[in-house]
Parts: sequence; C-alpha cells; structure tokens
Amino acid sequence: MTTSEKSPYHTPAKFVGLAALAGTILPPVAFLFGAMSLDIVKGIMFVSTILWFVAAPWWMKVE
Amino acid sequence: MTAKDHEDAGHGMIDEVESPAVGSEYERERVPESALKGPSAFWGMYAGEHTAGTEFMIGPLFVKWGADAFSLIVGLLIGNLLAVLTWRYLTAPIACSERLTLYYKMEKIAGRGLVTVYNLANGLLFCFLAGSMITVSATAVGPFFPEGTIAMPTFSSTMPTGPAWIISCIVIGAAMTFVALKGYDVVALVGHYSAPWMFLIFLACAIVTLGKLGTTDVWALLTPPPGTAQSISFLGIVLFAWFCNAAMHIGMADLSVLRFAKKPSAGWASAAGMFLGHYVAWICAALLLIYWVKEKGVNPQEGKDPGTMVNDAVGWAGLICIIIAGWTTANPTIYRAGLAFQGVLPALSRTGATLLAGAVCIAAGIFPAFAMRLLDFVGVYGTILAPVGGLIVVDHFLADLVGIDRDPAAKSGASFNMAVLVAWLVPVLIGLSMTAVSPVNPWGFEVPPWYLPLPCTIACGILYILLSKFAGGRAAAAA
Repeated sequence: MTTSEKSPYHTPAKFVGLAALAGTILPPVAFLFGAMSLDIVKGIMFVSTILWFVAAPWWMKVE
Repeated sequence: MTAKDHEDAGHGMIDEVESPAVGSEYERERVPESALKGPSAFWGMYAGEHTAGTEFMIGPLFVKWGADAFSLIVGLLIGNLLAVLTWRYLTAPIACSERLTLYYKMEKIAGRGLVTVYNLANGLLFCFLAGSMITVSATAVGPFFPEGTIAMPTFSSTMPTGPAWIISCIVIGAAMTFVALKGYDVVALVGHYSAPWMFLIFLACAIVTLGKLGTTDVWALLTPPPGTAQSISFLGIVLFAWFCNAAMHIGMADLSVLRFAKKPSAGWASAAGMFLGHYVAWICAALLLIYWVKEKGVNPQEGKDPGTMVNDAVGWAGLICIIIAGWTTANPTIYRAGLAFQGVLPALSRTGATLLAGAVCIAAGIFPAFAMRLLDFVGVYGTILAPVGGLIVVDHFLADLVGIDRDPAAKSGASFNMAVLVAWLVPVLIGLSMTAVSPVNPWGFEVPPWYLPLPCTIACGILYILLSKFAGGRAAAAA
C-alpha cells in the first residue's frame, strides 16, 4: 500500500480507510468475546465495507 | 489461487494488460533499467491476486477430504514456503536476468507457431478457471433471494442445479465479460483496493465462526472426527500448496511480472500471496464448513455453498467479498483468455475474442463440476503449463553446459521447434493418463494431479536436452 502525495483528501481518506478496516475486523473480535451481537457485527461490517471503497481510491495510490 | 494468475496472455501481435503494479510495455525487448520497480510494487500485487473467491472453495474441499490439523497447519506452511522459495530462487533470478515475458522467451526457444499452441492451451484453461470463479460468485447471489429460490450446488454437483442457477451464472458471467470488454482498468483497480479489506473479511469469517463454536482451539476444530476417511495425505497437502500455482513459478508465467523487479529478492513478495491467501484464507474458509458440519449437521462430503456460509457468518460484507473476489480475478482471466484466443485466431477482433472467451467461461461456470473439483483442476492446470518452465530452466542454466543452443528458434528462425513440442507433450500426456481425470488409465493406479507438475517439468527439461542433442546439438534444435 502506498500513499498518494498530492490529494487534499489523502489524510482524511487515510483515517476513514483505517477506521473502515478496523470496522471490518474488530466487531468479529468483539463477537468472539461475547461483547457484540452478530447482527450488529454484520451491520458494522457492511457499513465499513462501503466506507472502505469510498476511502481506498483516495488513499491507496497505484504505483 | 488466482488467475491473473499471472498469465499475461499474448505475444507480439497482441497487446497486453498488466496488474497495476507493473507496466505493459517492453513486450519484445528487455525491460530497461529505467522501468524497473522496487519490491513494494510486488507485495501488494501478490497479496491481492492470491486472495480470490476460489479460496472459499479450497479450504472446505480440504475438510471434505478429511485433511487433519497437522496437515493443514504444518503441511500448508511447508508447501507455501516451498512455493515462495521457488519464486525467489528459480523464477525471479531468471526473470531478472532475461527481463523478457514468458511468451517472448518461449518464442525464442520454441518458435512463434508453438507459442500459439501454448496460448490456446492457456486460453482454454483460463476459461475453466474463470468459470469456477463465476460458479463461486453465483453462490453469493442466492442469499439475496428467499431461501430455495436458487438451488445451490454442493460438492457432488456436476450439472446445473436449475434454471435460476443458470440465470445467475449467465448474468454474473455476462457482467464480467462486459467489463472485460470495456473496463479492465477499473476492475484491476478495484482488485487492488480490495486486497486488504478482502483479507480481513476472510479473517472475520473465521473469527465469527470461532465465536459461534465457542472456542479458539483451531487445532481441535481442524481435527476431523475419529473414523473420518483421509483422502489427502500430509504430502498431498504440501504438494498441493506448492504446485497449485505451478504454472506461475516453475512454469515461469511470472517472468512477465518479475522481469520488472530490480533484484531477484522481489520474489519474496510471493510470500504475501501464499501466506495470506493460500494459508490464512484457506484455513479460515475451512473453518466455515467445519461450523456447518458440527452445528448444522451438513455432510462434509456434500459441503455447503460459499455464499450461504459467508452470509451466515458476516452478512452482506461477506457476499460483496465473494462477488468482488470472483469478479476481480475472473475478469482479467476472461480478458487474457480472449487475448490468447486472438493469438490463435488473429483475424478475430478483440471484442469477438473476448466474447468467445466469456461465453466459454459462462458455459464452464454453469456446470459446478469445475469449481467442485477445483483441487483436481488446478493440478491439471499446473501439469499442462508448468513443464514449459523446464525448457526455460534448461535454456537459461544448462544449455551451454550440455552443448545445445540457447534460444534455438530465434537463431534458426524456425517457427515450430519439434523438440520442444515432444518434450512438452510426452510427459504431460503420460502424467495426465495417471490421474482420475483421464478417461483412460493404463497404469492400474491413480496419482493426484498436483503430484505431477514437478516430475513433468523435470522430464520435459531432460527430454528437451536429449531431443535437442539428437537433433544436432548446437546446430539445429529447431526444425
């Protein structure tokens, strides 16, 4: 993963992208430890998926 | 395993599409120093390309075959390590020394006519591979409709399960083909962006499954119940992991990619694909079926379609993952199959060739046999395509030593090197006749196809040396 250099959206996209990745993996961990219901896990993962595909093009640059 | 799987089908007359990580120029010349790329360009590419929709099939197929925990955890580790070492110490050094595509290097050894034959084999195998990706993607459509609307295939399915299934495959396959015609670059980018998210979805599936099963003891979960028949051994798992991408490493298809590497150490980047896609993702996918077997009484011999299992674990995010994973790998595969067909039939337009490839892929996808026998198929794929790597190894390392010409077809101007054709076909035909996929087996025993790429490649190299010597050594290998 490389970062784009010029886009003013890069930094916010990076934060959103990282949050989306966290939202993809942390809810299942919470479910594993009984801290979250599966329905909520699925909902957060779906929203995180959408956020990831919004943020990734602004964050990840193709070399 | 994926399909970019690395083949950049085509040679000379047909232009080429590349992963975002590498350029598309220098098809018929050495890559110049100015175009070389550092290792970071390859790590993401390998990670993305080896985390595909078909990984959701391979893990559960190991469960079906009764693979034990030691084989899965240690065997896959060793097999994938051997694959990485092959990329690093065989493919990458040749790529960085020659700096040519596989096709151009083969053309120099085998002649342009024979490369066309290779392209045809490649194109057809691509179609079947893309077909199995269409099958996997189509299973993700079912959960969007009321239960029972689309009858899902099981491991034992070989024929279409009904009209709704056929329509699903046609719609998905047609969409993939349309994009292959119009928007390859977009899908390549989506694949690039998807890679980290997609890997986490695989991981999430496993974590949720562990939560549902109320344990984190993965070793115990991967241990089949007592009395389970083990259809694949430890060695079988090692060899499968090593050779499921045989066409790319010992088969040298990744010369097309790694020729852009500054140093052979870029070959280590294949570890990203092997250990994320072919280790973690396979084990995660295996856990999905284990849950359905333990908690829902599913027969492991019948299995459960990936769409239903993933939807049950992580919901729509997982279904999107299956569709994108299938799409981003099937789409370039269809495109490259089209290029391969165009190489065989130069009069065919790009559109016509891609439509032809798409139609073959859809037809293959409708029949679940290819996806449900994916382990066999990738073994056959490697057995057919890997041996050409033996020719290149001989040409690169041994030709001077054994007294045969390097790049004989280029030197003689021949378009069809018979020594290459015989050296390639004889081991492949003998090897395939030993497998269960062969209609005729005169040997009285069967060998799993993934045992064959290495012996066939070695046999091909030895035969090539002998036939070239017989044909006149340095004088005339190419007829």
